[in-house]
Amino acid sequence: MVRWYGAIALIAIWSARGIADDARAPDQPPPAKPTGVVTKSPKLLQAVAPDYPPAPLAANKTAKVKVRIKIDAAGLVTAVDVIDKVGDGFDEAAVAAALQYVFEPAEIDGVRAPITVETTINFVIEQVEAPEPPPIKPAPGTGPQQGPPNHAGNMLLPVTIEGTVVERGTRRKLGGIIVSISELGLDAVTGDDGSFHFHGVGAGSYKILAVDAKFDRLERPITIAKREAVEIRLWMRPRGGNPYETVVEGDREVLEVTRRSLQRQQLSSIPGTFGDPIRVIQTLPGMQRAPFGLGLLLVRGSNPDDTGIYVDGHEVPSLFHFLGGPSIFNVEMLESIDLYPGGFPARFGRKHGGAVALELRPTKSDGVHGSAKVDFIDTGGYLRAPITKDISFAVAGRRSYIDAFLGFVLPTPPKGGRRIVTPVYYDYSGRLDWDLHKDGRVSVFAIGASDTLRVLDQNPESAVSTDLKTSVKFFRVIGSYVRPFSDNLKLTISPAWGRDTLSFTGAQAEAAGPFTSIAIVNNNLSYRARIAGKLSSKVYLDTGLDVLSRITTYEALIPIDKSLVNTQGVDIPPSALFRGASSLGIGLHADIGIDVTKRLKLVPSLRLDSYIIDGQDRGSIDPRIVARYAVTPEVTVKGYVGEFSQPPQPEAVDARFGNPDVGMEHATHFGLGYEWKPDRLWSIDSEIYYVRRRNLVVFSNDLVANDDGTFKYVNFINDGSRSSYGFEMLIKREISEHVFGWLSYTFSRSHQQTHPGDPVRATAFDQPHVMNAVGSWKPGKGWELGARFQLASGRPDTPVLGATYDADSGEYVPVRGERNSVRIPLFTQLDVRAEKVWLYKTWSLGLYLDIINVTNARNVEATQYDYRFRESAPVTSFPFLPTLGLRGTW
Amino acid sequence: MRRALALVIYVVAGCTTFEDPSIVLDLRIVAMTASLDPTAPKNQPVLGPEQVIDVDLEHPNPTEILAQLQPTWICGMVADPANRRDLRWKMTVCLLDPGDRCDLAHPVIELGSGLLGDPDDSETEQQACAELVTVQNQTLLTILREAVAANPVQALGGIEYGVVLTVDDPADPTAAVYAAKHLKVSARIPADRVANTNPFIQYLDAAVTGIGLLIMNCRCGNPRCAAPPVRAGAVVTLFPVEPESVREEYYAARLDGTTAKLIETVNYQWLAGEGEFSDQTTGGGHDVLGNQSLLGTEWRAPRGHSAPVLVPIWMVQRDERYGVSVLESCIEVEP
Repeated sequence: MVRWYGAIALIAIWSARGIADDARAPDQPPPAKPTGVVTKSPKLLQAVAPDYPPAPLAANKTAKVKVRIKIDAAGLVTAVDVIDKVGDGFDEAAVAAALQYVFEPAEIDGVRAPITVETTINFVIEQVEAPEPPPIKPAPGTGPQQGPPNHAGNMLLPVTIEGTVVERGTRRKLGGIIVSISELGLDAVTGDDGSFHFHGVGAGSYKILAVDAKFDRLERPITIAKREAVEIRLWMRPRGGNPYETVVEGDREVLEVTRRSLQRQQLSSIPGTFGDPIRVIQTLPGMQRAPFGLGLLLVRGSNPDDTGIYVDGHEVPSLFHFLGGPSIFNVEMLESIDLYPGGFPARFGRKHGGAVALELRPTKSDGVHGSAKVDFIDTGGYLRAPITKDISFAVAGRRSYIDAFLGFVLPTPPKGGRRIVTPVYYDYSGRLDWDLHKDGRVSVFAIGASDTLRVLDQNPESAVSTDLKTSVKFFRVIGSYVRPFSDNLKLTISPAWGRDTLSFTGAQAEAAGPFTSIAIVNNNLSYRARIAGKLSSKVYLDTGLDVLSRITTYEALIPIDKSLVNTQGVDIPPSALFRGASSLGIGLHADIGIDVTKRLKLVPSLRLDSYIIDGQDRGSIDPRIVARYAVTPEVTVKGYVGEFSQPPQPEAVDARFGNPDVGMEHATHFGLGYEWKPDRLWSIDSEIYYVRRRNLVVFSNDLVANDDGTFKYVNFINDGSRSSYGFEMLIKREISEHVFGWLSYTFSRSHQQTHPGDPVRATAFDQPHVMNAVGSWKPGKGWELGARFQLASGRPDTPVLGATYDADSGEYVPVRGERNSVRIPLFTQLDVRAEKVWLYKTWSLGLYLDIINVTNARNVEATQYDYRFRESAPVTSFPFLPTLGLRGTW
Repeated sequence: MRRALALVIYVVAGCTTFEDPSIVLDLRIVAMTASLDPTAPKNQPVLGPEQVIDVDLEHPNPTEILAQLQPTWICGMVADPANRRDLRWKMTVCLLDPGDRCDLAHPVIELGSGLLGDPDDSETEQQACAELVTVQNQTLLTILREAVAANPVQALGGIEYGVVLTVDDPADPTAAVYAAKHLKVSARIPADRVANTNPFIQYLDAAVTGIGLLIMNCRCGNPRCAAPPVRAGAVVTLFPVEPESVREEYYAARLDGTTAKLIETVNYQWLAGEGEFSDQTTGGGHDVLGNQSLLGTEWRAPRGHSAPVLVPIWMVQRDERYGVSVLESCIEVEP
């Protein structure tokens, strides 16, 4: 029966194609635009087979539905009218199918223009002729008359033609492709492994046809001799679109109000991001522009540290290599990146800013696949392969080689001296998946990254030398076991362990040991257990346990004496310092999605957190509620209000350098907005929000008297408060064959008060207007052209009004105006990217040119002053910066 | 993250060049000194920026405190090589704000004002000097009281207040320059605490390619100053020779009420009218790498003059307790 379905779909597609092609005739002008000359007729690029109405199919009834299709200037179908109705459900099925057609736009007087065409969609039940008797005798015994979809022909006869459909360039095996032998009327739909099988095809010459909306039509002649069986491989060339489209097990349940998701294709081809996935996040609404291209996540006026970054639910400290370097994650390892700028689900905890959730990509693979990239800065690769039928793995790695080039641009050291500057970053990751079938799936993921910088400067004629070393390292291993919990519930158990280290040493060259040093080591052990799924047809549950234990050690050799009243100018010898901090957080979370009516969905949530931080108890109770109401199938209004809490950092409660009395930070999020999806390609998401943050931990240099008459520094106190409000809009065009992009705009204001009674001022990253326009176009022949335009208000700055010479230090002290009372100039930047991909049978090669700031706009990021604050000069962001790279995929 | 941002700014900003801070091109206040005895020779210790008094901590008596304070002479040394003009100056005593100007929310004492002859051409040293009179100075007492009130450790480390010097051209008051100096009053805790004295050097050791130069206190504007001659482009090594007693031992207060005994560091700021220094500041404590900064520097004489020129050189010596002294000299650069 399935085979019949495929045949019907194929007939419908080719029927529609033929009629549409007729519209090219110059004597058939488009009725909607009688003026002008049609210089190019619309060309059907993507057709969708209509669903054959069950009743007439059962009754063996056929029909021809004549329709009028309105096509806009972009080639999209905007309306379909049935000209002569035939009933029996054929009209509706024809309209539903035609609405999904995509055309190459028509041109009138040489300009792309809307047009209306008429065509007929044929509903025909193909009568398969019986194949000629095969020369090979049928196998003894009886077989099924109706095989699986990827088998065609007489099942009683042996397979004489079989093969695999694979994607050209990637060797990805393609399922769901219709493969037919038109001469025999045989059709098969390839299985997940890309295979197809024709039974009992006799000797002769045939045309094998493979068609799919996302690939170029493939026609291959084949000759089969008597008593011969052949095996063929069909290489299909992708038309464009999103070859990495996310595969999800059913639709993801919507439990949040605002989630902005990016697919892998969007992540790797945005201009100005060097293919860096996290940088793409920075182009979405709700995100403030980070200065100097740094990877700060500035969400709705919050500090970067207030936004959590979660990898499969486990928090990680950072996503970027240092100083604005690329993200640590290889994009091929990621399934998706979701940005929650506010009102996020209760499963993301311990943060009151926003949440960025990275979902890892399973490694299931039909063969060995991979990619490699080389450019001026670094090189990296990715490999994915099956080990057994149920076990597969993927590995990725990258290393920079800036250090190899620096030697050519640094000044030559003096004779007998040495000058070494070696910034090196690298990262690696790997994942192993084991499919346990009905018992679930087990995976282990590990990732590590390192950033090191060494600066050695030695001059034999100078007693002063430099040997500086800094190192930032990061490692995580995340295990995951997912299995069905009941019919509709899924259980996920996931432990993780990680270590983050940061170290700095400073010494004279060839010294026996460091003069100063700092080493901070974080050991994290986390555990998550989550049950999610439908409790009933109207209730969805997402609940779980979230445990995080962190032990931090600080080891330092530093010149510090916090007991002295005034240390200015005092030559304090370095002394060894060893401190430690521990924290244990246990969180329970529950989001319950309730379909109150067909249109109204409510999601009440609750998160309970309890902490022991250096022996101090802390806790929070955060209730939240989300509402979504579908006004029409295309328009949904939404709103939320909720509490969010964040514990102080362990060092903030340190008895010596912190304040053991520091408590939790809290925030309340409010939001109201709508989503409008006028068609399957376009969507608009808009929201107004207000966030009130309170009890923020702020630094204090104050001293307070102890009961015994001595004094101590306050260091940290919960005095800060901050409020943010704004409006966000995202107009997005989904990936189609040729085009994708989005326009995001954010209006936001953020103000803070450091201590009660202090003036309320704009925050350091307050930017009222931020706009990002991103577009990518595939004109064909392997080209992809993209552009990104950024516009952002300047950040607040504090003016310098003059200076006073401090006669006791010999340096000038600036006289500053009101803090954050002026702004640096507006930021505008246009980035472009061009990539040419050559498709070979088993691999593809891409050459790309990514140009940051193509107009070489001088964007001011900060102001620098001369020694007496009389002269100033702007510190500008990236100048015109081209990067050429090669990317191979197989 | 802020540190990363600062580093990025530093790296990016490295492309911009500003004036060399060690070359005095126009009107600048070179140094400010405080002294209890303005007539004392420059190569001897003299009390100045700090006064140590006996205080009954249980029942402090303001009158007794004021009576123990001695008058202090505060002087500002000015350079103005780009102009030939007289200058106007004004000095005030007050509590300093974060910009090292007088915080007008507290009382201010107008210490003195006047006119200076052209500081570069005058034969005699043109310094803006004023005496802080302490006898019956109730305003000073109010300033000290308010300094204690604003001090988070209730003057445990001493009471600090400031002197602000303003210098301008009477014809162009908008181009005024400002400098501030701290003064300090400390309680005699422990009993053997003594006040800080201004640092000084025995002499300045100087040489060109190994041949010694006689560098002494002498102003270029003084026709009797025998400025040693050097060739244009010559490198002059300058090394301050310190007496042993210049780095004093002193007591520093701790938050727990005890005291620590420390040894002063001394640093040097080098300024000139032209040329280029290898190190603009020398001395001081260890850097983060453990380098103990050398005391001396090298000065490269300017090129490009067709006739001999006199170039002023200043060495400002400072300790960490507001002690300051200045050596002004002159070198003749031959083309």
